[in-house]
Amino acid sequence: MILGIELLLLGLIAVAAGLVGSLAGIGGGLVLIPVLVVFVGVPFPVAVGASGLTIIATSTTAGATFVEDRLTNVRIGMLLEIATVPGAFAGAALTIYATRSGFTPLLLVGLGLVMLATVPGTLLLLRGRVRPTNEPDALSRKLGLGGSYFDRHLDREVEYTAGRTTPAFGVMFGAGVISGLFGIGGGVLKVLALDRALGLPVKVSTATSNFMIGVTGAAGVSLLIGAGYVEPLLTAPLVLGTIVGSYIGTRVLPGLSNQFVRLLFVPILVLFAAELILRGFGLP
Amino acid sequence: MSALPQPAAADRNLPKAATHRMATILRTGLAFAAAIALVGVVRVLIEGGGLSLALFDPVANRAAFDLSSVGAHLLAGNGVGIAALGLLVLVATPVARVAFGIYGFWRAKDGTLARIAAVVLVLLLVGLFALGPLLR
Repeated sequence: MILGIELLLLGLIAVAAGLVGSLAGIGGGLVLIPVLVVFVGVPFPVAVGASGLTIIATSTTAGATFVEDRLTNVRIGMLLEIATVPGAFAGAALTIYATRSGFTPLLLVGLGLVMLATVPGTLLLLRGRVRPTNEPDALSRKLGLGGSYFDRHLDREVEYTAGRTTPAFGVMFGAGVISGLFGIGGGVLKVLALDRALGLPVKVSTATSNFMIGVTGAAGVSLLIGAGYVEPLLTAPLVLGTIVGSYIGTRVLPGLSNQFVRLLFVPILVLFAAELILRGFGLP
Repeated sequence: MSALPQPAAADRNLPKAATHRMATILRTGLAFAAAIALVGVVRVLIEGGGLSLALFDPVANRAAFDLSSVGAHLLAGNGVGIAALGLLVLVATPVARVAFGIYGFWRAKDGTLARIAAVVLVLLLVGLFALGPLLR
């Protein structure tokens, strides 16, 4: 009976995280991990593994639609996965190593700082849009990186080419490390690389980032599975709850504006981040 | 504005049939993973024996994901084993889409991208079968 209530509660937490994540368009994992670690008392890498799996689920749901609508640039996504996958391995290995060496407080502070950085990062992506470069570099030209998509808002086909691939690889490796380390999508960093370094249209950047999150998540999670940090009984209800939450978010409540949800989301994120950082420093 | 690289931008994605199939792989994988995980959770609740399970037990977790013991769990109809299988299907879903990417690019005569997708696939398999167990 107690276990049943626990599983139901876990599922409900995940419904909330999936709902917020899909409505705000960012950070479902950023909500889940602090709740699991701080309120449920889950060991850090177990929370990272669970969150990583929920992220694979949500990115797969949205990813399938984006791929079918041809918003995702599959070629650019696959190319940059060469950087995110080793990054995720490094991040997941670091989480395992840090936990075994007693550095969990550092992980808490690190996640808190990443959460705080997500706020200006998101605002930066939303506002102050400097014209990104889409002057193709040698690799972009060689591989013919670019494409086109049908923009429903503009009612026309939009063509684009990819710009600087070298910084994009670097930022993507970093996004992989963050993803493996904390079991989050690292979408803000990925969009930053696609939008700013490659100069892709924002819809293509978002869709391609989403496409890559599944593979990056799978890379990190596979290490955590091997190391014994994925708890099936804890994670299965979380995955199911997140799927339900993001379904409600995308299908049932499409009328809510992203901006409004993000405004609600930012204070929650800051509060959780503060809690994690305080805990990391051993303060109540 | 510099000259745009060739070929025409519109030709540089996978063919429509391939992106459609890729989307189907993702949806099917997720549906199977969720259904299996749900059966596992319901099974645990029915068994009730879950009360004796340690929620955070690395040794038991390793056993739950050991490919050989997943089979044994399934034969025994063990709920945790079924939930673990659902999660393995979930992890395998993006891996399957990378594998399909190799085929899709190869069919589209895009050899470079087929090779790139193959590198990503090898990296993922190395992580799953070599790096993961190394960290036990």
